[in-house]
Amino acid sequence: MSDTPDILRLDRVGVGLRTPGGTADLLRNVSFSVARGEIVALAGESGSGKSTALLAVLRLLAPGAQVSGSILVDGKDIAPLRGRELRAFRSRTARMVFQDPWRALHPMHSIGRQLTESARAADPTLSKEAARTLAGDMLARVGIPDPGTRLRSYPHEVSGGQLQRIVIAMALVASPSLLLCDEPTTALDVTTQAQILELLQELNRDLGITVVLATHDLDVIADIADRLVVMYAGSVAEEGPTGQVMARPEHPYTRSLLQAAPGRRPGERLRAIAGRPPSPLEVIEGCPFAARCEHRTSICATAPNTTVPIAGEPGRRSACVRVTAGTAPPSAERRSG
Amino acid sequence: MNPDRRTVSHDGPVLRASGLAKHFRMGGLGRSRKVLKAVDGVSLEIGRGETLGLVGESGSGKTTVGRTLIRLYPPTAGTVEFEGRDITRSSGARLRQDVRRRMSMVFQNPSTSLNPYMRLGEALTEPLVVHRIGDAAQRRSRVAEMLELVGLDTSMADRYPQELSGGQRQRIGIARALITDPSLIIADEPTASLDVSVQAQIVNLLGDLQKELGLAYLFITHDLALVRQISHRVAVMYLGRLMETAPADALFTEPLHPYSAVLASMHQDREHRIVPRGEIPSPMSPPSGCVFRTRCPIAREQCAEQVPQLREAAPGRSVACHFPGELKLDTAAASVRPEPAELTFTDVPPTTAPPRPVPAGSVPHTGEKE
Repeated sequence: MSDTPDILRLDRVGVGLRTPGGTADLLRNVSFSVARGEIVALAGESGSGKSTALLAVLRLLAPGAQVSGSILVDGKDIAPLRGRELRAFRSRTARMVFQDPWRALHPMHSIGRQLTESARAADPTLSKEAARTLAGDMLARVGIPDPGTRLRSYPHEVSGGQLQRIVIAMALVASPSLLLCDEPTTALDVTTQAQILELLQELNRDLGITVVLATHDLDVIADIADRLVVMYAGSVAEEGPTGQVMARPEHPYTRSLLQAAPGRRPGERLRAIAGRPPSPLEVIEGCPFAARCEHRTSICATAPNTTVPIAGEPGRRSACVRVTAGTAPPSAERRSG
Repeated sequence: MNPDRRTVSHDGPVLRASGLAKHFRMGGLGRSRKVLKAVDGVSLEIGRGETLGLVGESGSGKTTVGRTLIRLYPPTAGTVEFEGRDITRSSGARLRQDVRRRMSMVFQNPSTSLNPYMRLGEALTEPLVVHRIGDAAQRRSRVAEMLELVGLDTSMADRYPQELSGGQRQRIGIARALITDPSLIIADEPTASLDVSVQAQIVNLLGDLQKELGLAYLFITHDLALVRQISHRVAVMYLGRLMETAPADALFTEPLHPYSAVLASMHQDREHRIVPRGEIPSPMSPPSGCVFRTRCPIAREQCAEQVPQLREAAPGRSVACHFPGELKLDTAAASVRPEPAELTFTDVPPTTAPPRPVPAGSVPHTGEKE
């Protein structure tokens, strides 16, 4: 533990991947931080970089990916981690829950075996029996009925919602300080979705575990996340407390995204966002959303692609120069500056 | 989509299914052979120019209903009437003439429903060839007409599917469904694989086409907000059975079936949500009586003994529940999500440049008109 309140901090992180078509910029100058005990949602459409950001934190990017900037977990830079240290970091400190629980578990190994393996990877001093007891307790904790029997089951014998609970339990047996979830409910039905989100919130409250979620659906995640980080084209558009961002967006993209989602004016035409996000192969100058933005002005072409605090609104930051122009000179108080 | 809720004509539905059932025989021999009742006794009507939303969780049988209606599966029991003809047992030329020309399907994944080796023009021409419509020149002009109708450039006919974005491919899927001039489109999760902003473009396109061509839609989806947005009426399925059919607004504000209430409450804040116990049972061994009773907050003995029949509860509304309307939504909660506030800009003085069109070079593939 260190004295910093932030358990996770990304500072001007860029991720580039060489492809036959040129360098693909998956993340461009991404900065945000997550305080201990928070639930933070990274929200954005496909290609926005939300999953890449999670993978970068776990050092799980494709070989050859070029990472710039720094990622601090618990105040420690994760870039120099190698070998045993890296394994310890992945098994103990930060754990990931993937979108598809069917692919996250080995089909030929019993659930008990996979959970004890996970527990003993995090704590090699744990005996097999102790690990199995811990696995059973954790299954009960995530709401699996009859955990003793479930330990002997195989993944195909279990429904999707139960399986996602098991995957979460598999992360929890390591008592990690950081739980990263990549679209944890997207593959599940709506009623099961609600149950899993409630579970995540409970675990956050009761165990104090920090949760970072990547999601494409603002409305689903809205009521469990303390804060939202809205991403677009590999960059952060804005961040702030969830309720505030949803009610009073401070970036045109956030507002357009909320308005494009169905459910606000039933029976009316949806407000589509014209065009498409830029390709990661494109070189972007100025604001990445400018080409699709109805509020674009001449200054957008030279906007620095980074979020700036909004005066008078604690905790809120926006990358829109038209929103932040009068409040803070872009050069002065910039986290990344 | 923009359903104009007043002008839909209800005289003579385009499609009417009564007591529709589709059972699949599963593995096992003799007595141990199991039957999966994917759809069991579903009755529904779709009016001309109407959108009927069909919602349900995975395993509810909603996709099987769609496929049985278009006769990709022969029904196990029940009848299907389409444009006034009984098509339950149609086959061969009759099936092609009466059903496949006038009813088409838009699939969920536009990337796997298009042949990667076929140019889009060929993919669009194929239905015309199958149905022997027009000569080569007429087919070419029909393809161009369709591309324009769905908002694509006519030069797209020479491209391959993989050169297109997901949204553009779904536009092709829609054009292919429309090319034989159908009266009913069965759309099975047509926007589930698309991003929110692209989904909005496709949904609006479907709405425009409905108005222009008087199409009827059976819109199959698990997305409740979407189904409310676009449907005139909504049918709710659970474990192969219809729970309730109702006008879209009524279903989400005053649901009669407890399962509809559960779904409608998912729109509301967390504290007002009705989260059901447990999970959907296996369709191989559904509960006795009412199939929803194992998860229903108001279930009692009668529910385990008697199967509730779908009954008309009010004009245009039917419900299959022994205690309709008992489980109510918390009316204090808003049923529609709030609008985000306007943005306030602080840059002074406004150096507003006139909005310019999206530069064509900013997207990797051009040709999509917005």
